[in-house]
Amino acid sequence: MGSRSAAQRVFSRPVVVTLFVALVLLLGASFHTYRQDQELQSVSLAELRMASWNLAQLGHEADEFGHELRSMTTVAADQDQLLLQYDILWSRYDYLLQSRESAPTRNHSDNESRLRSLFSQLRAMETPLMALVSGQRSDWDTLTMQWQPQRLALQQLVVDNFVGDETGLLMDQVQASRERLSLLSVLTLVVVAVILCYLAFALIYIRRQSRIDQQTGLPNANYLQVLPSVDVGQAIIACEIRDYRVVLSEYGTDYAADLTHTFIDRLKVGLELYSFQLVQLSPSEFVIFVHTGDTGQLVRQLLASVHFDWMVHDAVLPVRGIFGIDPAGAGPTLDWQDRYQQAQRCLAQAERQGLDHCINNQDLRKQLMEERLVHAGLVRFLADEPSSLSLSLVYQPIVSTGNIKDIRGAEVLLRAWQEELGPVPPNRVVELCERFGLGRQLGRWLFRQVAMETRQLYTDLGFQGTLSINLNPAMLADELETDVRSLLLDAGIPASCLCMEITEDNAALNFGRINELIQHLSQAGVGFALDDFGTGHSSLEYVRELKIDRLKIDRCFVQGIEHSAAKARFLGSIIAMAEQGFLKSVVEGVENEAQWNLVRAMGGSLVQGFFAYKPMLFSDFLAEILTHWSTVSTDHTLEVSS
Amino acid sequence: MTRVLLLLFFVILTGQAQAEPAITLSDASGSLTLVRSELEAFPQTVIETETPYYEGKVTFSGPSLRRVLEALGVEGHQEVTFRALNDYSVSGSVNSVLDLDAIVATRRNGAAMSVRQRGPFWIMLPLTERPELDDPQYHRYMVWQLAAIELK
Repeated sequence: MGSRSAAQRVFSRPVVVTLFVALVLLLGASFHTYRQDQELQSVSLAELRMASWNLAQLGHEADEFGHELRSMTTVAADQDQLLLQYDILWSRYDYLLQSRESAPTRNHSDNESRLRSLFSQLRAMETPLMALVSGQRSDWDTLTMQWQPQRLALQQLVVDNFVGDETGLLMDQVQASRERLSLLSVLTLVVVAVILCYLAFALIYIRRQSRIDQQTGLPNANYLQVLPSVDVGQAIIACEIRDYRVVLSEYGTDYAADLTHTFIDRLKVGLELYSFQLVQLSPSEFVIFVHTGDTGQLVRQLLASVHFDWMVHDAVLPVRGIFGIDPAGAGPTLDWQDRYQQAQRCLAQAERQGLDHCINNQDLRKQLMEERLVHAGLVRFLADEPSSLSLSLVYQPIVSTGNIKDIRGAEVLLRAWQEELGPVPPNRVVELCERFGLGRQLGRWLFRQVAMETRQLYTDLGFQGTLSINLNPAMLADELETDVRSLLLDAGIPASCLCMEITEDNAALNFGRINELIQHLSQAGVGFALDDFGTGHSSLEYVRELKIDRLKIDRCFVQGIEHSAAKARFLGSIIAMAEQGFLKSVVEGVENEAQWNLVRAMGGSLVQGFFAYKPMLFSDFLAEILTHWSTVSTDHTLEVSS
Repeated sequence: MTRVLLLLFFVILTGQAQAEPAITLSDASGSLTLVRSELEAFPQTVIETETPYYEGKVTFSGPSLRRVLEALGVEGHQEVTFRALNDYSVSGSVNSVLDLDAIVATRRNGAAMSVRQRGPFWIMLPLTERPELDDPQYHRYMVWQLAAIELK
């Protein structure tokens, strides 16, 4: 926590702003110095060079003139050369004082006034010079005397311009500017390097932060993305807080965060004997990598640890964790992501089955493999494509207690066959269809198949027995009426001969909506039955609320009635209750003669069970009907319409 | 050779004051002196240009440098040196100097130039017409008070 806050201080806004300002200032200063230096170089140095050159020439030309002047009293006297040198010197002054090019030279310091003074002194020599040359005078010494101070002043001018204070100062400035620039360059480089390092650290920090949950400080989902491998000796456990959503919705985010913290603490307690790593995917989802040889023991400890009562306000909320576990070293060596997926799959499986944990073992893998096979087969079968799975229907006759051969109808039962697995339990088929959104497709297939098989029984033979069809949950929807009408009624099955069976589980407590569906079809004459009565919760409430015609009493109420008078009396009272509610009862699971006799004695009900008939193919069902037609009661007359 | 030099001395010593100003061309095989009237007998080129020396445009006229050098013969020479009355001299390759479109100016604004006016001859470049020549590395060829041209 300490290092984290230190890191936060290092990457705080003031530090970043300070660094930025320092860089901007340094860059500004560098640029300024660079500009100054450029100016000094481009202007001052060029001018200095020009001035030096011009003044050097001036000095040289003055020397030439002085030399000629001195030689005038010797044998080497050359008047023309003297006049030429005079003119050359004259033109040099003229150039220095007039030309555009030499302006910087004369503008420097007091050069111009000194040059003007020198030039006028030179011009003052012209008249005596001409007089001497023309021979009117001969006192060359006087002229030489006149020249001497000029020569000295001129020399001084040249010296001042070359090594005088001004030049020195200029050179010093250039030098200082150079030094400042190089210093600034170094400083800028240092600051840029510091900032680059800073940015690199910031990047690392951000990347590290992004892999940590801000609330709990645990590694998060991003951490999983960069996790290269997981030791096969480690179990991978996916974990979820079951009641988190309830807490979040009822008590708000603060309490939910509190729950998360408490839960994490509990998890750590459960894991304290192990070396583990805890990763947080969301406030309610976690992944644990833990070294353990005994998965069962670990799971027991974890379950005990995260099964607790959480006090919130005045309420006590039982909190539970759910676990999906991929045990250490189980199964073939897989990529850890695949193992992680297995763990998540186990968690999903546990949730689906209402368990507190699910371990990825041989059985589960087999089960999941089978599910995949069945699912794939179902998809192809329902799409009418060649499939490894086939569905078919069987019919279990429902008979009157009055006459065991009096077939009053049948329950249509689903059978599934998978090439590799053999028979597949129908409830599993239904559950898979529901889970993968194939429910309505399955229902429609079933309706179509029933209509196709039994149509002639009704249209040609005038059979009036009731066909009971189980509605899977997905069929209990607004489209039910349409499907029943188009697939069953339009195909020729009389509405009065249809009974839709609803199980207590899929009625799902929304009585209003279900009753609406029932009402629509009841108006057309279709009957409804409550299936498996007595096995779910609130059974009696269903009986009271749902507008059904039949009650299918579960086999559990029949079991043992032949040995227990109390059980028999209980069954009798259920039948009586149904009668009171104007419901027809169908007793399921009558398997032997003793049971048959007892149920028959209770009277008034229909019976479905092995003792009367086992489920059979439609052809057998038809044969059965035809065989016993003669013995049926008078109200079921067979009309041969052909 | 000595006679030529003597003649040259004579021209310089005597000609400066009384006679026409002249320019001496020389190479390894000999020399040639051209006076102003001879130079002005060559086809004349007029350059109207800004200069580093005067405010505004100034007109210079005179034969092209190429024409002047051809009086001695350009072929077979690599280097040219211009020498001024004040002993200033500057050298460059013949080809690069000929590329400058220079003239040997004999007149400024129509008038002959005295030594005080930096005459009598002045190598002038068309700076306004060819701004790329307005640079110190070419300015150095603009020799005033031109006295001699040597070819090597």
